[in-house]
Amino acid sequence: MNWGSPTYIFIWLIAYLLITAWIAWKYSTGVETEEDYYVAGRSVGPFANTMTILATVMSGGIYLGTVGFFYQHGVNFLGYGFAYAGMVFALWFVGKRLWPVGKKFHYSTPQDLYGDLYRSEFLRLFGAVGSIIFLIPYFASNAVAMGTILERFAGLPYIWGVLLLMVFCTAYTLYGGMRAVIYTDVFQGVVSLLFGVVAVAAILYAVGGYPKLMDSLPPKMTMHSFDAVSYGLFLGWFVFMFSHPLVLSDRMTRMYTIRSLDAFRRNVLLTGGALLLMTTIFALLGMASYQVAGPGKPLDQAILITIQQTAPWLMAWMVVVVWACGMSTLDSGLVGADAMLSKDIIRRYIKPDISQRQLIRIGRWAIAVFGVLSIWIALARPPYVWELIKLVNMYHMQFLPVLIGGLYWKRASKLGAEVGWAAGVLIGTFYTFIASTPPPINVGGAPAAGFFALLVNVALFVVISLFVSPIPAAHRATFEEAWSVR
Amino acid sequence: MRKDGRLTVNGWLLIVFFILVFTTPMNPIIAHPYLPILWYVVIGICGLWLLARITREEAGR
Repeated sequence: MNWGSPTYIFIWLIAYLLITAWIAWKYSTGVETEEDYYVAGRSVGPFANTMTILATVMSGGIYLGTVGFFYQHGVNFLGYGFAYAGMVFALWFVGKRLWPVGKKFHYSTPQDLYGDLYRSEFLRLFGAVGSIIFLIPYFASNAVAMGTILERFAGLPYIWGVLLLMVFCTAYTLYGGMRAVIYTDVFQGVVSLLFGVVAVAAILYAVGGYPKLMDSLPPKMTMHSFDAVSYGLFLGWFVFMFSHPLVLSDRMTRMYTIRSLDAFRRNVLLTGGALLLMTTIFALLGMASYQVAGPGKPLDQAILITIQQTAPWLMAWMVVVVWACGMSTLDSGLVGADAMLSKDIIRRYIKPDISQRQLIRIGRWAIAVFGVLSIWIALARPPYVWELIKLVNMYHMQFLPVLIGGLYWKRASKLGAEVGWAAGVLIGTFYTFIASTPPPINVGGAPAAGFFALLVNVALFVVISLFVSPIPAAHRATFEEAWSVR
Repeated sequence: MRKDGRLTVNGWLLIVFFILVFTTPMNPIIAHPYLPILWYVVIGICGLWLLARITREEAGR
């Protein structure tokens, strides 16, 4: 059988899309209120919340790009995985305070918290506007990946892949909001994780098992290097992967969607286990790709070559998984951007008396517009997709001190948060677009200039907060009351 | 994590956990081709065990 036949692969993809459409339809019933639409009625169980966090973290290029980084750097890329081991602790410490606050004040966006806690319209407005602007190219990057992979494996023109993804994903997201996103994510997460387990088993079997694989690889792949570059890679990816599930506006909302704190406790444990499994899969696939495909291949091609050579029967599933990962990230982003536009901007500054029904209607239009804008960017087939992703990461990392400082540091001040955040964003943007030299502290990879910008941001946040008045105690107490309730 | 102004056992374990994580690239114990990935898995499982302890402690169980 020709496992790589475009028709065969396309049939798999259509089957996957039909199941996704059915799930979105089934779980979208009862979407009537704003809370239903943006935070799934705060009613999601631990397993579904785990799968939606996992699926959203797994963006369109993860099985190609992240596996490619392990193919390139071997175990020196494990900072990526250790970050997740640390991130789940932060997820717990942030979420256990964010969830009750979100429930009490009906929050559904990060800017709800930043704006209210710091009493800062600057953080609310510019945070929301910036997040929306930076997220749209991120949506487009997923469409580029989907268009490219469909062009290559299903023989469809690039534009068809982009349109199919954006129209399909936009349609079910605007129809069902966060409910549709979460329950399609469960399916997408399970399909993706299961694929990884099967692929690792098949490829390890083909290369003779784990010990034989490790024996056949050069030491630079199997042993940690301890030099400035390698440790920078370790540290940079640690900080980035640690921060992004907490602060990326589409992911942070998962700390609002869970149904109770007890469910959240089980949710973080399950998430830790799932991320551990996911990273182990990526590491093994990447290193096996080095052995099978040989060195020097383009990063996003190594795993494809490996599957074609060792387990071609997995190719159709691989294409479906790349699509599933892309859709699960895209749909979350669409709802996240919509919530920021509708709630943080339109209701706050343009039409305060807007009804819930009107808000959802505007939100649906917003999702459609974001979809069209993403198609417009993706059709230009930008060669700088990776730069766009780095920019998104750089921007959102700058919310980390605002978030953690606000929840855990009584000296945290409005001025410190605003100046630190703005300086971080400006410095990161400067080193991304304008400067001809890298920042003084450069870790490379996805965090890129964001790492240095974050250091400046934290320093400013702390120093300024030590010298000016903190958030007033009486105001802070309204939040503390929420998170002290058990 | 903290009780009466002092770190609990879980607080100390968390510090040890992060020391082990950040010293991974220079850890001589795993200087063998088979071990870095196994180390990652073991540290990940230990992290989950510690996370379970901490969340239970904070839930007052």
